[in-house]
This record gives sequence, structure tokens and C-alpha cells, in this order.
Amino acid sequence: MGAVAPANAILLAAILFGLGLAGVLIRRNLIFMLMSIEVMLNATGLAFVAGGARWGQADGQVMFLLVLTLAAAEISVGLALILLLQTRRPTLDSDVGNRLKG
Amino acid sequence: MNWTLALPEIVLSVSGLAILVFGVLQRRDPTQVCSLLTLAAFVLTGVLVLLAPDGIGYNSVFVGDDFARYMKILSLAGAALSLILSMDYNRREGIGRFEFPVLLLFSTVGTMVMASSENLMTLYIGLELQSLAIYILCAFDRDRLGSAEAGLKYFVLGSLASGLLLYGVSLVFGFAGTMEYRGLQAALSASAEIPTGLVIGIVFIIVGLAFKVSAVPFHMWTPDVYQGAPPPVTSFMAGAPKIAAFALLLRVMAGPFGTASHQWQLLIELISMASMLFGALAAIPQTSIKRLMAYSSIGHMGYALMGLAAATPAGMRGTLIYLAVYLFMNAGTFAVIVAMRRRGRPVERIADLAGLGRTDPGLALAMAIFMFSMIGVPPLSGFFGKLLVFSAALQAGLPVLVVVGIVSSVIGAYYYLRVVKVMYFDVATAAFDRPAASVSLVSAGMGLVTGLFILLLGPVSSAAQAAAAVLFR
Amino acid sequence: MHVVLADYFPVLVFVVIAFGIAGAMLGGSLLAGQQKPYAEKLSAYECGFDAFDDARRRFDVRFYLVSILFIIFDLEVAFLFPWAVALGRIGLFGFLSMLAFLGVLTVGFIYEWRKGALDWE
Repeated sequence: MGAVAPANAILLAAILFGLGLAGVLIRRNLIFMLMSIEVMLNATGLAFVAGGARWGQADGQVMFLLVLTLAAAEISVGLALILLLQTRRPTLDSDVGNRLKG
Repeated sequence: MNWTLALPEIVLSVSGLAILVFGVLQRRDPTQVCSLLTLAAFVLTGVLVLLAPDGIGYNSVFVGDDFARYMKILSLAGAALSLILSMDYNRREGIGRFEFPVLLLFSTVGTMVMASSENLMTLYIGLELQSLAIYILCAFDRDRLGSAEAGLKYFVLGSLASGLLLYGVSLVFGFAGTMEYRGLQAALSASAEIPTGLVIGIVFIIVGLAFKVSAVPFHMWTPDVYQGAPPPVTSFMAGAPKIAAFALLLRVMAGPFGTASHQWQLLIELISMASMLFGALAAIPQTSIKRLMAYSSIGHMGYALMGLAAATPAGMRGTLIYLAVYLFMNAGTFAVIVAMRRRGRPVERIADLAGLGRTDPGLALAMAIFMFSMIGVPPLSGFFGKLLVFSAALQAGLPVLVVVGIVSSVIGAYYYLRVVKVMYFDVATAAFDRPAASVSLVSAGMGLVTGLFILLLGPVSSAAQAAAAVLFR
Repeated sequence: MHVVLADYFPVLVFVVIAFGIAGAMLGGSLLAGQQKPYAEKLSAYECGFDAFDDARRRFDVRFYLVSILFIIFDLEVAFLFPWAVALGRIGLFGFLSMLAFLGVLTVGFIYEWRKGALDWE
């Protein structure tokens, strides 16, 4: 098995990113929206690693590590906020949390 | 030496950690002490920023220059003002916890790192640090559903924008091979033809940053989040992070992507026009003053973007002065909003301001100054901001933009004047509770700055000039 | 074909031993032990939740706390791995940088300790 061409990896990253983006915009369940955001961030991580492979630089892998860490931090904050909302209204339906309008 | 460059950020971060540990080890409620300590940390950091040397360090991811200094001072000022507003408000609302100043401090560290970024990695890290702290701050008023909802809404849309920005960064890296601004500048000016992937990456980065700046069409989160979050948090959100994101936009667009300016200039023009018009029109039917301020801030960001669309040093200088002017107007207006309490509960409708001219003339005068400044009436600060961006845009050959700006200013004058009319010409219902000394101090101080800005115009203008010069080196 | 399969022979041995030991344990307890089932013993172990119940129930915040603490310290360890590998080359400066990073995370740890996030009950 040879190495994967970076162009293919970037294509895969683009597809995954698109799927994640669609997930955030279409899904109503907050947990699924969070998962889709996670998918988006990991797709960009893949794109970074592929870019680093293409140009022969370690920047891509360094950035991947940072992206992973930031995604974890973001998810912890996000889950905390979801739990906060849940204790007020026990639902994961994002349409309900839409009282503010105008 | 690397650490002398980053000394302000290091000092601020360490004091944040120290205040956190101090706060959590206390037996009695440490909120007031922690707030004062944080304020002291801000002042100390401000002094260090002014004394910090110029240079580029940490393997060229971190830079110190006039632009960074200008932006950092603005961020620290915005954060300090919001902190002062929060001290009394949080206590009265029962949400006085010491984590508030600490989170505000960490968010400010994020804005400072953003201002000093010389590499897209640092940009992203600073942006995320600032954003994460604000998501939590928006939801700080735990027991009010509106606050929790604001925090969650901001979180989902903010993470989406961060994801888009990050994807843009990855595309830029994939097609240019570097994330350093200098390297990108070299890569972009070297080749005559720019790969499409790179242009798409730049567009994604603009989209992500435009979201943070709440420029149209990425503004949908602003009114709801501004209304739901506690007013001190809103005053911070509308101030320092927005300005820091703007600083990033300026630095990134003028620096590495400056040679490709013909690609993105039209985009920025369109966003600017749309923001100005939308901010003006959508604010007209508003009854809540916090929502009004949200739409107003969208409009103001449109005016500030005019300077960027001009893509000249004069344009950048105009934008930088506009941002400073906006920060102080905004802080003052939110001081008045924080002072809006009746019988111990906060009120937020414009109609609640009725008769303020008689019940509290000082507060009403300050609010009137802020409203007139937002319209752009001379000789208040808002006038100078608008004058500079309009003239820069005109000189850069963008007359349509200036015409749209003037039209939206006139339309916007309607709702600002309505606030003034309600204060002075409507019958008073009941007086507000007496505001705390800190709140009155902020509103009076900002009123003075806005009203007497002509005295400050010289030094602010030269600082902005030096900052703008850095971008076009 | 045979050459490729020969590489997997240890896996076959592993599978046979695994099945053998598991079967011996189950068979042994079936033949030799006393059978006294009651309802509670037979219910599935699901962190205190019913296995096939409605998923919409009040979520216990303690599970969230544990998982978040895990993920944060797991990523701390993830940063420790490349640092450990490259420690020879980054010298004292690298060591002190990692100490600073660990210090920041320790501050977070002190915070959650004092706030009671580590108490299960």
C-alpha cells in the first residue's frame, strides 16, 4: 500500500466538512449539532495534515494537535451550556430554545 | 527576547490564574476583591503594553508593533469598562460570582493574542480563547432562561463560524504552504495567478471573521444574544472582541492578502453596504433598547468596514479611529442601560426611558450625547469617525459606498432621535433606582470623552496613523 | 496465498485460546456453581439507566463532569507524548515550557477540586 496523495485527503476533508456543515444547519437535536461541529473541526484537521504532507512541513501536524485540543475545549463548553438549558427545559430540541425573537 | 514581547499577555494570564486560585480558595465571597484585582491587572497590563518593545518573536508567530499596541489598549479599555459596570450589576442581580472577572480577563488575553498575531495559528488560538470565555459569560445569569439561551445560541453559531474560519486557514495552508503572514504575502505577490483554492480559503476566513464582527449577512445571532446576555457582558461583547476581530480582519486583509486586494475588495464593499443599511432599517421597529443597540452595532461595523474597503492607509486610519470612537460610545450607552432599574429589577424597553430628562438630568444628558454621537453630529466623536471613513472611501474612488453611508446615517438618525425624544419629551412614569457610583462614573466619563473628543482627536489620530502605517509596510 | 495466511497464524492461535478460556469459564460456572437468579441480577448494567427505556430522561450532571475531566486530561497527556519524545532536543527551555503548560492545567485542577467536581456523591 503506497502513501495517500494529499490531494485526495484534501478532497475527503472537503466532503467531511460539507457533511458536518450540513449537519449543523439541518439537525434540530442539539447533541447532533455538536457532533456535526466536531466532524467539521476534525475535517479541517485532516486538511491541515494533508497540507503539511504536501509541503513537507510539520506545521500541519502541529495545527492538528491544536485543533483537536480546541475542539475538545469547545465541546466541554458546549455540553455545559446544553446541560444548563436542559435543567430549565428538559429537551434537546433546538427549536424550543428560540424564545428570543424580533 | 521572546518573553519581553509577550510580557503583557504573560502577566495578564498569570494574574488570571492567580486570581482564579485565590478566588476558589476563599471561604467568604471573594467577588468584589477579585473584580478589583482584575481591574488592577488590566491597568498593569495596559502599562506593560505601552512599554512593550517592537519586534517579532516565538518563531514569527507573535508580533509587537504600533498596530498591536493600539488594539490592545482599546481591548483593555473595553474590558475594564465592562468590568466596572459588572461589579454592581452582578451583585444586585444575584449573579455575583468571582468567575466573572476571571473569564473577562481570559477573554481579554485572547483579544490581545489576536491583535499580536503574525501567523494564522495564533489568530485561531486567540480567537478561540476569547470566544470560549464569552460563550460562558453570555450564559452567566444561570437562572434566567434568556441568558442560557443566548449563550447556547452564540455558542452554536460561533463554533460554526470558527469551523469555517479554520477551514479557510487549512485551505490557505494547503495551497500556499505556510501560515505566516510574511510568508503568505511573499507567496501571493510572487505568483501572478493565485490558485482558486487559496481564494476560497481567503473567502472562508473573511466569512468567519465577518461573523465575529457581526457584519451582514452573518449577523443573525447578534440581536438575540445581545438581548439575552447580561448588560455588562453585552457591553464587553459589543466592544473588545468585536474590535479585536476587526483588528484581525484589518491585519489579515492588509498584510498577507493585501496583494490580492482586488479579489476581496468588492466583497467587503458589499458587506459594508449591507451592514449599514440593515443596521439602520432593522433598528426602526425595535422596542427593547438592548436589541436596538445590537442593530446599531451592526450598522457601526458597516461604517468601520468602509475604511477597510478603501484599502488605503487613510482608510485604515479612519477605521481605527472609528473603532476607538465606537468603543467609548458603546461603553457609555451600556452604562446607561445598566443604570436602568426600577424597583430593584432591570428594565429594558425604550419606553422605560420616558421622562429621564426630568428624573435624572445627568444620565439623560449623557445618553443624549451618546445618541447624537452615534448619528454623527459634530463636534461629537461619532462625527469624526464618520468623516474620516467617508473621506477615505471617497478618495479611494468608492462614491456609491459613501452615498449608502450617508443615507443609512440619515435613516439611523430616526431611532436615535426617538430615544432622545422619549427621554426629554415623554411623560415620566417612575424614576429609576439610584445607580451605583461606578455606573454613574462610567457614563459620565464616557460622556465627557464622547463630547470632548475634539481634544483627544490629535493623539488618537496619530496613534491610529502609526498603527495603519504598520499594515502597509 | 499460503504465505499471506501464514502471517495470520498467531491470530488464529489467539482466537482459539480466547474461545477456549471463555468457554471453560462459562462452562465451569454452569456445571459447578449454584444457580440462584433474581430480577435485579439479570438486568443489564447501564450506568444506572434502564437499557431499553425512553432516552429522554433527566441527565445526571456527574456523568458530564467525569467525561469532560477525562477529555481535558487526556489531551494534556496527548501533548505530553511528543514533548517526551523530543525532550532531548528542546532542552531546559522545552522542559520549562511544558511545566508552564502543566501548571495552567493544575490551576484548573485545583479549581475543580475546590468546587466539588471530584466528589461523586
